[in-house]
Amino acid sequence: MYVFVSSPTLISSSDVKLIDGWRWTNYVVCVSCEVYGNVTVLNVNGNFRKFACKFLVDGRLPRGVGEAAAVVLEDINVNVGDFLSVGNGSVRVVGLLDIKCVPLIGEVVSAKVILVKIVDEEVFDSRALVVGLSCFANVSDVLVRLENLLGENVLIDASNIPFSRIRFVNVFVVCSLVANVAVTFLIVLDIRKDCAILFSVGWLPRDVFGRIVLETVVLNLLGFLVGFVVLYVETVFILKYYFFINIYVFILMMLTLLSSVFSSYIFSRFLVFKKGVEVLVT
Amino acid sequence: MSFIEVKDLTKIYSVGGKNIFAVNNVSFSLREKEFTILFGPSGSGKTTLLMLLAALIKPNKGHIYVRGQDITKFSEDEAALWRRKNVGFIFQTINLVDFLNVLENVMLPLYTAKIDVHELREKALKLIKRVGLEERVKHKPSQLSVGEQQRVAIARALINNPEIVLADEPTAHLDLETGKKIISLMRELRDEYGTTFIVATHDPEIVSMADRTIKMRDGRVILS
Repeated sequence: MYVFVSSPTLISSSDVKLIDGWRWTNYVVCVSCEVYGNVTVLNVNGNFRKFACKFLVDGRLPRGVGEAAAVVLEDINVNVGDFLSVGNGSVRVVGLLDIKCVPLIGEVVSAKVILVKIVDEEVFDSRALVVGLSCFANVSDVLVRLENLLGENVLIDASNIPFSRIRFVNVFVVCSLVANVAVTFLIVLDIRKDCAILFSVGWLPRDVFGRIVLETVVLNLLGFLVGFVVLYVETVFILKYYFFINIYVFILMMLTLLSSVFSSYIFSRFLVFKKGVEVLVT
Repeated sequence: MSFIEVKDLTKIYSVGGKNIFAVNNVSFSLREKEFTILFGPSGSGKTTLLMLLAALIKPNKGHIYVRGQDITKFSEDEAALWRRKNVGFIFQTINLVDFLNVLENVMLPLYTAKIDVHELREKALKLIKRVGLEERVKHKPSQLSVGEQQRVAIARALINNPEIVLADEPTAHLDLETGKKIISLMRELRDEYGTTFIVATHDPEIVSMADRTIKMRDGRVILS
């Protein structure tokens, strides 16, 4: 029997609500864990090698991890309340969810998803989870990956990776927003005189403002799409992460566009209507 | 009633914590279709006064009545609409939009107005012909001489059939002869269209071409 840890996002040992509001394992590949006080953050689409290392270093789940999602690849009959043995430890099934198609790296497999609770954390042997995780990450390559995961070299590799997946996206979000505001500022600065001319010859502020918003939003959208492609290429081909549009990226896109509109408004009010006219006559 | 009446107008700029009275308690009135020259040295407040008359900026104190309507009370939108209908502005630095050709620049003020594009185009072409640039319709501003650019600016200022044209140092970058031609053209257009022209200049050579001269110094009117 194999139990495969899949993809929780943010859970704490007491956060049972996540089980009811199951949202986080739809399209995930692997996880990494970080403990902040009583809260354990499991990173969606994180670097599974790092995950494996964490488990291998002390041979058990990180302190505070009491619940996890699992994907059962074998056709086993499990029900809520069942205990499953994993290595020397065991987990209790606390929820069931069927996801027929689980996208993995480069392939899609059918799998049954269950929610499990760690019963005996102290003696829990994470190797089964590591095996499961490697299977989950790439079914056809499971043995090779398992060998790699258990080897010392893998530990070194993992420690060299500077950012977890979620941190990487965080950095991308911040950079994207900062770049967006900067681009907007430069655009408005560049067309300030033209806009002031329009204003002076009788265009309404909203006509002028509309032009600025249109220009900046379109250009920022293009910039974002380019950034998105670059990020995708980086993630898939360089960092070997699996990447796709999820809610986080969607929020990022919305934030980027909103910041474009708001920064357009702020800059245009100041640069065009307050300073722009002065530019015309000096 | 005067066409334009300026009452106790004051505009203060704050520069480095110091208040500078660009226009200081100015009052005068103008008749319709008058060709008026605001004459004074640089820094005397001519440009600021023109900007106030165009409702591009608001005064700190005082009022400007045009046909009895106080334009200093306008909101930003009302001022823009009023400018579109009633005012043409000619800048010292000309300020044509670089990436638009002559025809597009002249049509610019009425692009957002609900006017048939063909009608607008015909009107613009007529004006361009009137200022003598019919051969330059498709040229960009960079392909024109400064004098020609100023003619385009004049055509642009007249496209909306304004009652008032405000010109800020329109001859500043021109030689004397070309400058006089530009002023003569403005006078002719005043006669043809019945437009009131207010021209700011520091050039004494063209003062004699005005119906009326208002002299300014240090933000004050010293002779009206």
